[in-house]
Amino acid sequence: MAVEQRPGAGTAVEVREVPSLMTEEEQTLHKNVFLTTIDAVTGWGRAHSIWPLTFGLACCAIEMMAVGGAHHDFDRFGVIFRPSPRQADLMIVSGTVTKKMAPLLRRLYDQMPAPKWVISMGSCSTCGGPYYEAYSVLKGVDQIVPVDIYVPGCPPRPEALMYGVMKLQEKIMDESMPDWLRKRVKR
Amino acid sequence: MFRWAKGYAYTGKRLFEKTVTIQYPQQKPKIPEGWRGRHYFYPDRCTACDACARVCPTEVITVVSHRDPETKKKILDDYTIEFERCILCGYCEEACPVDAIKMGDVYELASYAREQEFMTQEKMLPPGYSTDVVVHGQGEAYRGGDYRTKPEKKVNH
Repeated sequence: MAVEQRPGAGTAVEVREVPSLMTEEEQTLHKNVFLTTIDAVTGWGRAHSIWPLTFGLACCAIEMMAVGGAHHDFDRFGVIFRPSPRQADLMIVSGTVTKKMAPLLRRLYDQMPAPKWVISMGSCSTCGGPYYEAYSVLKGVDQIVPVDIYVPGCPPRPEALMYGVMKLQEKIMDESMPDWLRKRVKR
Repeated sequence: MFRWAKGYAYTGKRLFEKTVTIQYPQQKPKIPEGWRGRHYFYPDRCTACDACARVCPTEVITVVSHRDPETKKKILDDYTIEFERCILCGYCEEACPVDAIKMGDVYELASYAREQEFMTQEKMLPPGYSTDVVVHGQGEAYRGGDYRTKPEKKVNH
C-alpha cells in the first residue's frame, strides 16, 4: 500500500494498490499453502504411477514394446501397460491412425477415467508422417483427442519415448487441481 | 525326472549375472555409428542447390535462396525443416554435395506442442558453432511470400 498525493487535489489523499512483484502463482501459493501441498502430493503420485493404454497401431508399437522389455524397463518410471481403457490414465498413440480407426480411438479415450493424458508417438500419429497426402490417414491425432506430448521420429528410439514420458511427468507435477475436481468444488 | 532341476539351475545362473537394463536418464545408451537422429545444418557450407528439398520424400525441407545479379550464384536466405513430419531417412544427407546437412545423434526431441518441432537454423546448429553463421535472409524470396506456411495441397478426403 502506498500513499500518494495528487497535485491540485488539496488535502485529499488517494490510496492506491501497489502491484505486487510476486507472480500470480506465488500469490496463490501464499494464500493456499495447504491446498498447494496437496496438489504437489497428488501430482507426485500421479506422475510416478502412469498406467498407459497400449494403442499400438504400426511399427512404433514395436519400439513401445521394447520400452516395456527388460533392456529399457518402463517399470522404473512406474509405467505399467494396461490392456483396458478403464484402468489407464495415459494413452500412447503409436502408429498410423487411419480414418477407420479414428472413431474407435476417440471412444477408447472417452472410456478412460478423468485425469488422462495422451502421448502422440511418431510422425504418423503427430501429423500423418509419410502418409501426409494419403486419403485414408488422419493427419494428426490432435484433431480428435487433446495431445500433451509429441514424440517425433519414425519410429522414435525407446529412449525418445522415455524422454517424452519424463516430460509428461514434469507436466503432471506442475498441474494443480484438475478441471473435473475444480468443477465439483465450485458446486 | 529332474527336468525341473535343469530349469532352476538355469534361473539360478542368470540370477547372478549383470543386469541388462540401461538406467536411461542417468546412463545414456551407446548410439551406433551411422544411426540417424535429428539433423545438423552447416549454413556456411550450403550452396542452396535445393537437392535435399527435391529428394525429400515427405517434403519437409524448405530452402529459400536468391541469385546474386553480379556473380550469378545462389545465396542462401533461410533453411527450415518441419521436423514433425521428417522420417529420418537420411536422403538429404546423401544428396548433399557439400555435406551441409548431416544426420546427428540427437534423439531427445519430445515437445509439448507441434510448433516446437519446427526446426530453424538455430535449432540445427552443430556443436561448436556460434549463431553468427546463421543466415538471415536478405533476398527477395525471403522478404516476399510467407514461405513458412505452404499452400494446402489438394487431397481428396
